[in-house]
Amino acid sequence: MKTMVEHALRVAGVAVVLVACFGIGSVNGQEPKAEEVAAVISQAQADLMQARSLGHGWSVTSTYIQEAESALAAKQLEVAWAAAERASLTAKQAIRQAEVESSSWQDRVPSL
Amino acid sequence: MNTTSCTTLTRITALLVAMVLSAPGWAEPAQDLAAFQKFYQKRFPDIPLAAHKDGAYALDEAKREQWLEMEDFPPYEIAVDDGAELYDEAFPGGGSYADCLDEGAPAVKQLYPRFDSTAGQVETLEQALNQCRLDSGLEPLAYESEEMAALTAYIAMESRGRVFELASPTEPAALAAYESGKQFYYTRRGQLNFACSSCHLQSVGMMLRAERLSAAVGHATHWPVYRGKWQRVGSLHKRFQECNEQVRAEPLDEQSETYRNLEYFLTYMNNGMELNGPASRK
Repeated sequence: MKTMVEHALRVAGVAVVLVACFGIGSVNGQEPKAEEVAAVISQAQADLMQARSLGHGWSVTSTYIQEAESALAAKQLEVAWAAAERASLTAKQAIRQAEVESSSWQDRVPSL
Repeated sequence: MNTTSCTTLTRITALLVAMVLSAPGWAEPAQDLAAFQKFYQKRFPDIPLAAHKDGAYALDEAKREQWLEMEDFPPYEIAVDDGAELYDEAFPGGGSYADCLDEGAPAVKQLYPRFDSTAGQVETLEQALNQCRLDSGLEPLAYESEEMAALTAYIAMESRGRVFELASPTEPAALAAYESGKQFYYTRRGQLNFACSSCHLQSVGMMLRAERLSAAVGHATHWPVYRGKWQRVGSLHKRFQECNEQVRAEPLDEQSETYRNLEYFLTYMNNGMELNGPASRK
Protein backbone atom coordinates (compact mmCIF):
# COMPACT_ATOMS: atom_id res chain seq x y z
CA MET A 1 0.00 0.00 0.00
CA LYS A 2 2.81 2.34 1.03
CA THR A 3 4.62 1.61 -2.25
CA MET A 4 1.49 2.40 -4.26
CA VAL A 5 1.04 5.70 -2.47
CA GLU A 6 4.67 6.60 -3.10
CA HIS A 7 4.27 5.66 -6.76
CA ALA A 8 1.12 7.75 -7.05
CA LEU A 9 2.89 10.71 -5.48
CA ARG A 10 5.79 10.37 -7.91
CA VAL A 11 3.41 10.26 -10.88
CA ALA A 12 1.58 13.30 -9.55
CA GLY A 13 4.91 15.09 -9.08
CA VAL A 14 5.97 14.36 -12.63
CA ALA A 15 2.57 15.54 -13.88
CA VAL A 16 2.94 18.81 -12.00
CA VAL A 17 6.40 19.35 -13.51
CA LEU A 18 5.12 18.57 -17.02
CA VAL A 19 2.19 20.93 -16.64
CA ALA A 20 4.54 23.59 -15.33
CA CYS A 21 6.95 23.10 -18.22
CA PHE A 22 4.37 23.02 -20.98
CA GLY A 23 2.34 25.70 -19.30
CA ILE A 24 5.17 28.21 -19.84
CA GLY A 25 4.40 30.39 -22.78
CA SER A 26 0.67 30.29 -22.41
CA VAL A 27 -1.91 32.35 -20.63
CA ASN A 28 -4.25 30.02 -18.75
CA GLY A 29 -3.39 27.35 -21.30
CA GLN A 30 -4.43 29.62 -24.18
CA GLU A 31 -2.21 31.01 -26.92
CA PRO A 32 -1.07 34.46 -25.71
CA LYS A 33 -2.27 37.47 -27.68
CA ALA A 34 0.25 39.90 -29.17
CA GLU A 35 -1.02 42.78 -27.04
CA GLU A 36 -0.66 40.68 -23.89
CA VAL A 37 2.96 39.92 -24.78
CA ALA A 38 3.59 43.58 -25.55
CA ALA A 39 2.16 44.56 -22.17
CA VAL A 40 4.48 42.16 -20.33
CA ILE A 41 7.47 43.46 -22.32
CA SER A 42 6.48 47.02 -21.51
CA GLN A 43 6.19 46.23 -17.80
CA ALA A 44 9.57 44.44 -17.87
CA GLN A 45 11.16 47.51 -19.47
CA ALA A 46 9.69 49.75 -16.77
CA ASP A 47 10.91 47.39 -14.04
CA LEU A 48 14.37 47.28 -15.62
CA MET A 49 14.50 51.08 -15.60
CA GLN A 50 13.60 51.04 -11.92
CA ALA A 51 16.26 48.41 -11.18
CA ARG A 52 18.82 50.54 -13.05
CA SER A 53 17.84 53.63 -11.10
CA LEU A 54 18.63 51.64 -7.96
CA GLY A 55 21.99 50.59 -9.45
CA HIS A 56 20.92 46.97 -9.83
CA GLY A 57 20.17 46.32 -13.50
CA TRP A 58 20.77 42.73 -14.54
CA SER A 59 22.26 42.11 -17.99
CA VAL A 60 20.00 39.10 -18.60
CA THR A 61 16.87 41.24 -18.46
CA SER A 62 17.85 43.19 -21.58
CA THR A 63 18.69 39.95 -23.36
CA TYR A 64 15.26 38.50 -22.55
CA ILE A 65 13.53 41.71 -23.61
CA GLN A 66 15.34 41.63 -26.96
CA GLU A 67 14.41 37.96 -27.41
CA ALA A 68 10.79 38.72 -26.61
CA GLU A 69 10.66 41.67 -29.01
CA SER A 70 12.25 39.66 -31.82
CA ALA A 71 9.87 36.74 -31.30
CA LEU A 72 6.89 39.09 -31.11
CA ALA A 73 7.93 40.71 -34.38
CA ALA A 74 8.16 37.24 -35.92
CA LYS A 75 4.71 36.41 -34.46
CA GLN A 76 6.17 33.58 -32.40
CA LEU A 77 3.89 34.40 -29.53
CA GLU A 78 4.65 31.42 -27.27
CA VAL A 79 8.38 32.12 -27.48
CA ALA A 80 7.83 35.84 -27.01
CA TRP A 81 5.63 35.23 -23.97
CA ALA A 82 8.22 32.99 -22.31
CA ALA A 83 11.02 35.50 -22.88
CA ALA A 84 8.87 38.41 -21.71
CA GLU A 85 7.95 36.53 -18.55
CA ARG A 86 11.63 35.85 -17.85
CA ALA A 87 12.44 39.51 -18.46
CA SER A 88 9.72 40.58 -16.08
CA LEU A 89 10.76 38.08 -13.43
CA THR A 90 14.46 39.01 -13.53
CA ALA A 91 13.67 42.73 -13.44
CA LYS A 92 11.48 42.25 -10.37
CA GLN A 93 14.17 40.11 -8.72
CA ALA A 94 16.73 42.85 -9.39
CA ILE A 95 14.50 45.40 -7.66
CA ARG A 96 14.06 43.04 -4.73
CA GLN A 97 17.84 42.56 -4.59
CA ALA A 98 18.30 46.33 -4.41
CA GLU A 99 15.80 46.56 -1.54
CA VAL A 100 17.46 43.80 0.45
CA GLU A 101 21.00 44.98 -0.24
CA SER A 102 20.29 48.58 0.73
CA SER A 103 20.97 47.55 4.31
CA SER A 104 22.37 44.02 4.32
CA TRP A 105 25.67 45.03 2.64
CA GLN A 106 26.77 46.43 5.98
CA ASP A 107 26.86 42.95 7.50
CA ARG A 108 29.80 42.06 5.22
CA VAL A 109 32.14 44.84 6.28
CA PRO A 110 35.01 43.44 8.36
CA SER A 111 35.33 44.91 11.83
CA LEU A 112 38.21 45.09 14.24
CA MET B 1 15.35 77.01 26.73
CA ASN B 2 15.99 75.93 30.32
CA THR B 3 18.87 73.80 31.57
CA THR B 4 16.81 70.61 31.75
CA SER B 5 15.72 70.96 28.12
CA CYS B 6 19.32 71.57 27.07
CA THR B 7 20.52 68.50 28.92
CA THR B 8 17.78 66.37 27.42
CA LEU B 9 18.58 67.64 23.92
CA THR B 10 22.28 66.94 24.43
CA ARG B 11 21.50 63.41 25.60
CA ILE B 12 19.25 62.74 22.63
CA THR B 13 21.90 64.05 20.24
CA ALA B 14 24.58 61.93 21.89
CA LEU B 15 22.29 58.90 21.70
CA LEU B 16 21.63 59.48 17.98
CA VAL B 17 25.34 59.88 17.27
CA ALA B 18 26.08 56.71 19.26
CA MET B 19 23.41 54.83 17.31
CA VAL B 20 24.90 55.93 13.99
CA LEU B 21 28.43 55.08 15.08
CA SER B 22 27.41 51.66 16.34
CA ALA B 23 25.44 50.77 13.21
CA PRO B 24 26.86 47.74 11.40
CA GLY B 25 29.12 48.70 8.53
CA TRP B 26 29.72 52.25 9.74
CA ALA B 27 33.25 53.13 10.73
CA GLU B 28 35.84 55.79 10.18
CA PRO B 29 37.86 55.12 7.01
CA ALA B 30 40.97 54.54 9.12
CA GLN B 31 39.11 51.89 11.12
CA ASP B 32 37.87 50.30 7.89
CA LEU B 33 41.44 50.16 6.61
CA ALA B 34 42.76 48.56 9.78
CA ALA B 35 39.95 45.97 9.85
CA PHE B 36 40.30 45.26 6.11
CA GLN B 37 44.03 44.57 6.29
CA LYS B 38 43.73 42.68 9.58
CA PHE B 39 41.19 40.38 7.91
CA TYR B 40 43.81 39.17 5.42
CA GLN B 41 46.55 38.90 8.02
CA LYS B 42 44.29 36.66 10.05
CA ARG B 43 43.12 34.67 7.02
CA PHE B 44 46.66 34.13 5.71
CA PRO B 45 48.92 34.30 8.76
CA ASP B 46 51.89 32.87 6.83
CA ILE B 47 51.72 35.38 3.98
CA PRO B 48 53.06 38.90 4.60
CA LEU B 49 50.47 41.54 3.78
CA ALA B 50 52.84 43.17 1.29
CA ALA B 51 53.00 39.95 -0.75
CA HIS B 52 49.35 40.36 -1.79
CA LYS B 53 50.43 42.99 -4.31
CA ASP B 54 51.00 40.00 -6.60
CA GLY B 55 47.35 39.02 -6.35
CA ALA B 56 46.53 35.34 -6.72
CA TYR B 57 50.21 34.65 -7.32
CA ALA B 58 50.86 35.31 -3.66
CA LEU B 59 48.53 32.42 -2.81
CA ASP B 60 49.32 29.80 -5.44
CA GLU B 61 52.92 28.68 -5.90
CA ALA B 62 52.36 26.81 -9.18
CA LYS B 63 50.59 29.74 -10.80
CA ARG B 64 53.26 32.07 -9.44
CA GLU B 65 55.99 30.13 -11.22
CA GLN B 66 54.10 30.38 -14.52
CA TRP B 67 53.56 34.09 -13.98
CA LEU B 68 57.22 34.74 -13.20
CA GLU B 69 58.16 32.92 -16.39
CA MET B 70 55.82 35.22 -18.30
CA GLU B 71 57.36 38.28 -16.63
CA ASP B 72 60.69 37.39 -18.28
CA PHE B 73 59.18 38.81 -21.46
CA PRO B 74 56.44 41.05 -20.10
CA PRO B 75 53.55 41.46 -22.53
CA TYR B 76 52.93 45.04 -21.33
CA GLU B 77 56.40 46.17 -22.40
CA ILE B 78 55.26 47.52 -25.76
CA ALA B 79 52.56 49.60 -24.07
CA VAL B 80 55.15 51.04 -21.66
CA ASP B 81 57.42 52.04 -24.55
CA ASP B 82 54.51 53.58 -26.46
CA GLY B 83 53.47 55.40 -23.31
CA ALA B 84 56.93 56.85 -22.83
CA GLU B 85 56.84 58.30 -26.33
CA LEU B 86 53.37 59.76 -25.83
CA TYR B 87 54.35 61.17 -22.46
CA ASP B 88 57.42 62.94 -23.85
CA GLU B 89 55.58 64.56 -26.76
CA ALA B 90 55.27 68.30 -26.24
CA PHE B 91 51.76 69.71 -26.49
CA PRO B 92 51.20 71.85 -29.61
CA GLY B 93 50.40 74.89 -27.48
CA GLY B 94 53.43 74.36 -25.27
CA GLY B 95 53.88 72.40 -22.10
CA SER B 96 53.68 68.67 -21.56
CA TYR B 97 52.27 66.03 -19.24
CA ALA B 98 55.35 66.49 -17.05
CA ASP B 99 54.55 70.19 -16.64
CA CYS B 100 50.88 69.53 -15.96
CA LEU B 101 50.98 66.61 -13.52
CA ASP B 102 52.15 66.72 -9.92
CA GLU B 103 55.71 67.21 -8.83
CA GLY B 104 57.66 64.01 -9.31
CA ALA B 105 55.89 63.15 -12.57
CA PRO B 106 55.86 60.67 -14.19
CA ALA B 107 56.07 58.78 -10.87
CA VAL B 108 52.67 59.97 -9.60
CA LYS B 109 50.45 56.90 -9.75
CA GLN B 110 50.54 56.59 -5.95
CA LEU B 111 48.72 59.93 -5.63
CA TYR B 112 45.59 58.75 -7.43
CA PRO B 113 42.68 58.55 -7.10
CA ARG B 114 42.17 61.56 -4.88
CA PHE B 115 39.30 63.72 -3.88
CA ASP B 116 39.13 67.01 -5.76
CA SER B 117 37.49 69.42 -3.32
CA THR B 118 36.89 72.05 -5.98
CA ALA B 119 35.10 69.68 -8.35
CA GLY B 120 33.50 67.85 -5.42
CA GLN B 121 34.35 64.44 -6.82
CA VAL B 122 37.01 61.78 -7.08
CA GLU B 123 39.74 62.42 -9.64
CA THR B 124 41.56 59.49 -11.22
CA LEU B 125 44.88 59.46 -13.03
CA GLU B 126 43.08 58.99 -16.35
CA GLN B 127 41.00 62.09 -15.71
CA ALA B 128 44.08 64.08 -14.70
CA LEU B 129 45.80 63.11 -17.96
CA ASN B 130 42.78 64.17 -19.98
CA GLN B 131 42.56 67.43 -18.04
CA CYS B 132 46.16 68.13 -19.07
CA ARG B 133 45.15 67.62 -22.68
CA LEU B 134 42.04 69.79 -22.38
CA ASP B 135 44.03 72.57 -20.72
CA SER B 136 46.39 72.50 -23.71
CA GLY B 137 43.60 72.56 -26.26
CA LEU B 138 43.87 68.89 -27.16
CA GLU B 139 41.02 66.42 -27.46
CA PRO B 140 40.73 64.07 -24.47
CA LEU B 141 41.66 60.45 -25.03
CA ALA B 142 38.96 57.78 -24.87
CA TYR B 143 39.36 56.06 -21.53
CA GLU B 144 39.40 52.61 -23.13
CA SER B 145 41.84 53.67 -25.86
CA GLU B 146 45.26 52.11 -26.41
CA GLU B 147 46.86 55.54 -25.99
CA MET B 148 45.39 55.94 -22.51
CA ALA B 149 46.44 52.40 -21.61
CA ALA B 150 49.97 53.13 -22.84
CA LEU B 151 50.27 56.42 -20.95
CA THR B 152 49.05 54.89 -17.69
CA ALA B 153 51.28 51.84 -18.21
CA TYR B 154 54.33 54.10 -18.51
CA ILE B 155 53.36 56.15 -15.46
CA ALA B 156 52.72 52.94 -13.49
CA MET B 157 56.14 51.62 -14.47
CA GLU B 158 57.79 54.85 -13.36
CA SER B 159 55.83 54.71 -10.09
CA ARG B 160 56.95 51.20 -9.19
CA GLY B 161 58.19 50.95 -5.63
CA ARG B 162 56.14 53.92 -4.44
CA VAL B 163 53.58 53.29 -1.74
CA PHE B 164 49.91 54.25 -1.61
CA GLU B 165 49.39 56.88 1.06
CA LEU B 166 46.00 58.30 0.20
CA ALA B 167 44.77 60.96 2.59
CA SER B 168 41.94 59.79 4.78
CA PRO B 169 38.69 61.38 3.58
CA THR B 170 37.46 63.89 6.12
CA GLU B 171 35.31 66.48 4.37
CA PRO B 172 31.65 65.46 3.94
CA ALA B 173 31.75 65.19 0.13
CA ALA B 174 34.89 63.03 0.24
CA LEU B 175 33.38 60.83 2.92
CA ALA B 176 30.22 60.47 0.84
CA ALA B 177 32.30 59.36 -2.18
CA TYR B 178 34.21 56.92 0.02
CA GLU B 179 31.00 55.51 1.52
CA SER B 180 29.49 55.17 -1.96
CA GLY B 181 32.50 53.11 -3.07
CA LYS B 182 32.39 51.07 0.10
CA GLN B 183 28.69 50.30 -0.32
CA PHE B 184 29.24 49.25 -3.94
CA TYR B 185 32.07 46.96 -2.86
CA TYR B 186 29.98 45.05 -0.33
CA THR B 187 26.67 45.03 -2.24
CA ARG B 188 25.52 41.88 -3.97
CA ARG B 189 24.40 42.52 -7.53
CA GLY B 190 23.61 40.75 -10.77
CA GLN B 191 21.64 37.58 -11.34
CA LEU B 192 24.36 35.55 -9.63
CA ASN B 193 24.00 37.73 -6.52
CA PHE B 194 27.69 38.39 -5.93
CA ALA B 195 29.39 41.34 -4.27
CA CYS B 196 33.05 42.19 -4.87
CA SER B 197 33.56 40.99 -1.32
CA SER B 198 31.90 37.64 -2.06
CA CYS B 199 34.95 36.55 -4.02
CA HIS B 200 37.73 38.65 -2.55
CA LEU B 201 36.92 38.52 1.16
CA GLN B 202 34.39 35.80 1.85
CA SER B 203 35.94 33.24 -0.54
CA VAL B 204 39.46 34.62 -0.88
CA GLY B 205 42.08 31.95 -1.56
CA MET B 206 39.51 29.45 -2.79
CA MET B 207 39.24 28.22 -6.36
CA LEU B 208 36.62 29.58 -8.76
CA ARG B 209 36.79 27.00 -11.51
CA ALA B 210 40.51 27.03 -12.40
CA GLU B 211 41.26 30.42 -10.85
CA ARG B 212 42.50 31.25 -7.36
CA LEU B 213 40.57 34.12 -5.81
CA SER B 214 42.97 36.91 -4.87
CA ALA B 215 43.01 39.23 -1.88
CA ALA B 216 41.56 42.70 -2.40
CA VAL B 217 44.36 44.19 -0.35
CA GLY B 218 46.56 44.00 -3.45
CA HIS B 219 43.93 44.93 -5.99
CA ALA B 220 44.88 48.54 -6.62
CA THR B 221 48.66 48.18 -6.82
CA HIS B 222 49.33 46.85 -10.29
CA TRP B 223 47.15 48.64 -12.86
CA PRO B 224 46.98 48.85 -15.81
CA VAL B 225 47.26 45.15 -16.58
CA TYR B 226 47.91 43.08 -19.67
CA ARG B 227 45.31 40.32 -19.49
CA GLY B 228 45.62 37.30 -21.74
CA LYS B 229 41.89 37.17 -22.28
CA TRP B 230 41.87 40.84 -23.37
CA GLN B 231 45.00 40.50 -25.51
CA ARG B 232 45.87 44.07 -24.50
CA VAL B 233 46.58 46.37 -21.58
CA GLY B 234 43.44 47.52 -19.79
CA SER B 235 42.41 49.54 -16.80
CA LEU B 236 41.05 48.75 -13.36
CA HIS B 237 37.68 50.06 -14.51
CA LYS B 238 37.71 47.61 -17.41
CA ARG B 239 38.19 44.88 -14.80
CA PHE B 240 35.29 46.30 -12.75
CA GLN B 241 33.15 46.03 -15.88
CA GLU B 242 34.27 42.46 -16.41
CA CYS B 243 33.50 41.51 -12.81
CA ASN B 244 30.02 43.00 -13.12
CA GLU B 245 29.42 41.17 -16.39
CA GLN B 246 30.57 37.89 -14.86
CA VAL B 247 27.85 38.08 -12.21
CA ARG B 248 25.32 39.16 -14.88
CA ALA B 249 25.01 42.71 -13.65
CA GLU B 250 24.94 45.57 -16.11
CA PRO B 251 28.44 47.10 -16.26
CA LEU B 252 28.92 50.85 -15.92
CA ASP B 253 31.05 53.12 -18.08
CA GLU B 254 34.76 53.45 -17.41
CA GLN B 255 35.34 56.54 -15.27
CA SER B 256 31.68 56.72 -14.27
CA GLU B 257 31.26 58.36 -10.88
CA THR B 258 30.30 55.03 -9.30
CA TYR B 259 33.45 53.27 -10.53
CA ARG B 260 35.63 56.22 -9.51
CA ASN B 261 34.15 56.06 -6.01
CA LEU B 262 34.77 52.32 -5.99
CA GLU B 263 38.39 52.89 -7.03
CA TYR B 264 38.71 55.52 -4.30
CA PHE B 265 37.51 53.10 -1.61
CA LEU B 266 39.51 50.15 -2.94
CA THR B 267 42.72 52.14 -3.25
CA TYR B 268 42.31 53.55 0.24
CA MET B 269 42.02 49.94 1.44
CA ASN B 270 45.40 49.40 -0.30
CA ASN B 271 47.11 52.18 1.64
CA GLY B 272 50.59 51.15 2.67
CA MET B 273 50.94 48.72 -0.24
CA GLU B 274 53.75 49.06 -2.76
CA LEU B 275 52.90 49.79 -6.38
CA ASN B 276 54.04 47.16 -8.87
CA GLY B 277 52.27 48.01 -12.08
CA PRO B 278 51.90 47.46 -14.87
CA ALA B 279 51.36 43.74 -14.51
CA SER B 280 50.32 40.71 -16.46
CA ARG B 281 47.45 38.40 -15.64
CA LYS B 282 45.87 35.48 -17.44
